[in-house]
Amino acid sequence: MGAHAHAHHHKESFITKYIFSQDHKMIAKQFLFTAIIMGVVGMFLSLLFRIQLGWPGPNMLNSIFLGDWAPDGVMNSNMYLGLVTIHGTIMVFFVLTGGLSGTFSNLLIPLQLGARDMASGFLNMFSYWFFCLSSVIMLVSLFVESGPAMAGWTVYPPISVLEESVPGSGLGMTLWLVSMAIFIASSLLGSLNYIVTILNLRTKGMKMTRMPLTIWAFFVTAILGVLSFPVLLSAAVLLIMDRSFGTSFYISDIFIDGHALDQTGGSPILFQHLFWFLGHPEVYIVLLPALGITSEIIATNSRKPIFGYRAMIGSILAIGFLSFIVWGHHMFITGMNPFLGGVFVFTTLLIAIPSAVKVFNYITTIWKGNIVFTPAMMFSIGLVSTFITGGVTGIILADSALDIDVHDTYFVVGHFHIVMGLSAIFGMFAGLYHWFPKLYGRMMNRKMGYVHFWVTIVCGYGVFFPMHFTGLAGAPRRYYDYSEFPFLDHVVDLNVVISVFAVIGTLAQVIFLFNFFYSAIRGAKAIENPWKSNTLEWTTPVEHVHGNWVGEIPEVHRWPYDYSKPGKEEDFCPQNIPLEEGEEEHG
Amino acid sequence: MGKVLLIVVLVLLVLAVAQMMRVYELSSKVRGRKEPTITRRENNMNAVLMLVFCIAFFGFVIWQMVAYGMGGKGPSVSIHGEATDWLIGLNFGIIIPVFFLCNALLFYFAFKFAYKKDRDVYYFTHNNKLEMMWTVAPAIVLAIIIVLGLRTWNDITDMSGDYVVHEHTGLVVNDGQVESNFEFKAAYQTVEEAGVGLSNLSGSSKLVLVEKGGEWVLQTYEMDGESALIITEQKKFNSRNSALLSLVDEEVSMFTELKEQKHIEIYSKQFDWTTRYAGKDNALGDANFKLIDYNSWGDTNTFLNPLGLISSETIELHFNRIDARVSYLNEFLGSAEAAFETDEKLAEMTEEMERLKRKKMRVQSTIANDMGLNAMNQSEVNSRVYDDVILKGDIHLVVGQPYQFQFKSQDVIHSAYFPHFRAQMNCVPGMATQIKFTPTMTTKEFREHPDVIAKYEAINKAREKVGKPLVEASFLLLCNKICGLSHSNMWVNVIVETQEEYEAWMADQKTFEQQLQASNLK
Repeated sequence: MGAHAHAHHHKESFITKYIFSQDHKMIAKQFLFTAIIMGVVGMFLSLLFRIQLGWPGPNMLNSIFLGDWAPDGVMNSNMYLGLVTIHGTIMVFFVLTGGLSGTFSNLLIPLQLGARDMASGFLNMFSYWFFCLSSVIMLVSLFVESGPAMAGWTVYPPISVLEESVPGSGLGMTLWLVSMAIFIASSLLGSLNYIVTILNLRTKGMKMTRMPLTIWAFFVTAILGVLSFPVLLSAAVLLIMDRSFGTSFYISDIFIDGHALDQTGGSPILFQHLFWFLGHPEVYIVLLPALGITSEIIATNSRKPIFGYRAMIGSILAIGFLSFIVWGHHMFITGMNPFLGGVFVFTTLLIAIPSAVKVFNYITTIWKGNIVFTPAMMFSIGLVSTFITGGVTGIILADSALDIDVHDTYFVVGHFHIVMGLSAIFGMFAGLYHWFPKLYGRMMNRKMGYVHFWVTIVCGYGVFFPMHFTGLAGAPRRYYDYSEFPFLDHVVDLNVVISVFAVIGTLAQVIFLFNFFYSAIRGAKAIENPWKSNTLEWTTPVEHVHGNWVGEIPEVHRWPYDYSKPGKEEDFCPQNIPLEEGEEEHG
Repeated sequence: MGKVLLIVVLVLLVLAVAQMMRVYELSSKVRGRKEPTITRRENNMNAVLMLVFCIAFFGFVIWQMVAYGMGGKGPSVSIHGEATDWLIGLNFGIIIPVFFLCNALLFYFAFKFAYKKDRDVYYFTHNNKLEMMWTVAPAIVLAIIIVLGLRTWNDITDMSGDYVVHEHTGLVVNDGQVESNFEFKAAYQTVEEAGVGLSNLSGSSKLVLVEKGGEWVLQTYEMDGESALIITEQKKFNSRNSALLSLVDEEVSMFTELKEQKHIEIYSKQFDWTTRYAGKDNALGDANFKLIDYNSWGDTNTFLNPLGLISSETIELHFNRIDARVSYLNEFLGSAEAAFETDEKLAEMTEEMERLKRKKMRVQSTIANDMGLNAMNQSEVNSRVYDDVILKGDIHLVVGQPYQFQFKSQDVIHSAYFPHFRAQMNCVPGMATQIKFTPTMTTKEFREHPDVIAKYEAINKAREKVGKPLVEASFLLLCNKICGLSHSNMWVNVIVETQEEYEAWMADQKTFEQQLQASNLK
């Protein structure tokens, strides 16, 4: 790669430019576009079940969108489980894994490292098309007559194996598994590409210790993906075998629908071990890119170097490593040996240390800075706030003795939605507002961005914070209706509060969608470096060129966080500016 | 009607968006179509909003803490639940200040350091001392959390204490029933260990009340030198209450009670719970899922074996049913009627017949090999199961009685969640999971607890307003693992009562043996 001549002599047809493109910037946009569609669907599903929880009974939305699944407008409780399942799957995998990593790793890795493109453009194209195919299959499963998968996004067997147990475990579950298998292939192709690109295609002077923290986050994320997704794939394959070929990896001693099944000797808990071996690193696959994006944006807009650059890298590595040895904390009450449970308590609580370091470093970065409130910066501050709020409740859940009490209640739902549904999504929004000029050559409307941020953070906390209290009152998750339980009566009004915020919060996203599409087509033209940022992507031309830089790739001479360096005229100093005589590299 | 309305709304929405775009476009034309850089006013407004948001957010959080509190479930009603509640209180005591402090700093700094043209930005890249400090400080706090957490976890999950000691103080007679306060003292694995422990217990009382085969015995334990334990048996009573009454008569106010852990099984299936009490021998009989019998072949004999319990009768019944079905199928296939059926149906019936024959063989070998059932121990296996009591519906427990629960599932994973007892365990098909807990409050006492009274007064007031029936507090067992259509409706009441109430209730229930006899199987 990298021959200068490569840069702009291609004459591309519509198909090679927009559809089967091998250019990382176009692939990033394709990932983003698909993820937005999936995000809209995922959020709409949550709106349907939030309305059911807030105001149970018949309603118009049900009769229009659920058809036979909502006789007289009352949602069928199987369908409720289907909506919850697909909402979770779409949000975790298709929006926050495919969407977040797919968009920003693809866009930023070559641009911030000074590479002409990804190591393998061809694999990269395949990665997107596998993602697209799996998204389509997942959406199609919503329209199957027997309903989509209804076993929860964790698809624990035996409910996901036995078609007799719930209608969604028929064709719906088959499609779910096929979709996920293809999704995993996409994720692996992408991750391998990211790792190879980061290790091999850095421009001259771009030492690992001069890489922006975004790249470090994407790097560790890709490693986590490569090591953990294959385990989910094998879990899914074994599940397919149990469902279709009569094996018994996961099932044993089952009597259902009037007869005893022949399969014996398997263990449902085996699946949980395999699933969570991916499932917990997955949490950080979702979160680390968001944290990386935030590190970059907070430093840029505070006009101040990120505090403790090396500690930030260290904590990303520590979180990445620890995430592999904590999966058992999802399984404290499965009958697992209590000693093993104790080990997982220990490893899990250790993660709080690097996480705390990151939070303190963010706060110190802002301290004595000079903050420019771009929408991206505001979403980044929102991310730090939600990361604190969601992080501290994790300490309760990691403590096995307390987990017995709050496991699978709304306390858990509140906790992981604040860290994944708010923090990670805020990271994604922050990234979009910040790199929009790089994606589309235009600026997003700032005022709409402000409105979007304020309504979203208010509604986000309004939806997920009260869930801690319904959980502490003993409300189990994935319940279709709580009115049967007088002991929860005193928190039922919170369910209405949550649903009201959910409806308003959903409407606020319409502002974002409008802003996004409108600005992409007719927004104000961007300049080369609108945020006065230091990283290399802002040295590329506004109009996309194949190969990223028209001339030579810039050489890197310094770390990416020289903001407001004493002795400089400007409050920023891009990485490609050589050190002056006598200038030291870090403060 | 609804659809028309929705279409109208959608059309209006599209129109509104189109208008918005026009207005925006015209106004940006006036401004010259360039996205202006952030104005000072905008930046300052957002800075102030950061602070306003922080205060509003804190207000929202505090309102919820005051209005809903951390103890939404009411007081804990199990021994370990008190430890759980204490630990969760400690954890909240640590994380709530961290939450407020970090969020406050974040939003305050965001407000304070909003852009000013001439601000002197501090070029602060790192500080090893500071970073070391905030690595070590969380590590120390977490070490405390881990140590205390693991201690509680080990106590809760330790299944070895089969015999539990309570120390009673202050006996009160009320309507001929004795009520007493007790405190959990210790747990032992065997009666002998308990005896040694009891004799070493300091304090005034070495008087011990023990239940033995349906009788209550008052005894004293003493150590003779280092090793030998002298147990002096004093008096026998045929109910706990009469034993307690005799103590009241003798003006004994302090004594120790040794309680053996009672075994109980909670059996789950879509979508209900079945409880199996271990009976007099305090041992649960064996079961095998292949013997589960819902009488699905229309057999006229009405006996059902929903848990697949093993006894000579259930095995025989099962084989008889298979034989009857096989001979029916065999007869049908050989008869003239068979000609009227489709080939597919006939093939299906042949296959069913073959399957049943195979199944019978397998059940025979499973039960002989896996369960170790043979002519030698047949009576032992039978006697374990005969006294079990199997009941659907409300679960009855005795206050102060330690229980060891065994959980099983027939179809998918369920989770037995007892919110008031702070207990939960998954029910996994193919394996038996366990927990133990000791209820500390009867349902009646719970209803009289001031917190509970206050909570239910408020609940009933609200129910009255909307015309819903009034309710009383009760303990529940809920399903807490996604299990299908009626997941949210899979629950039963748990009734905690005194020993006497429990015995009166239990006297009316049929044992497994009595059920067999009632169906003329034994």
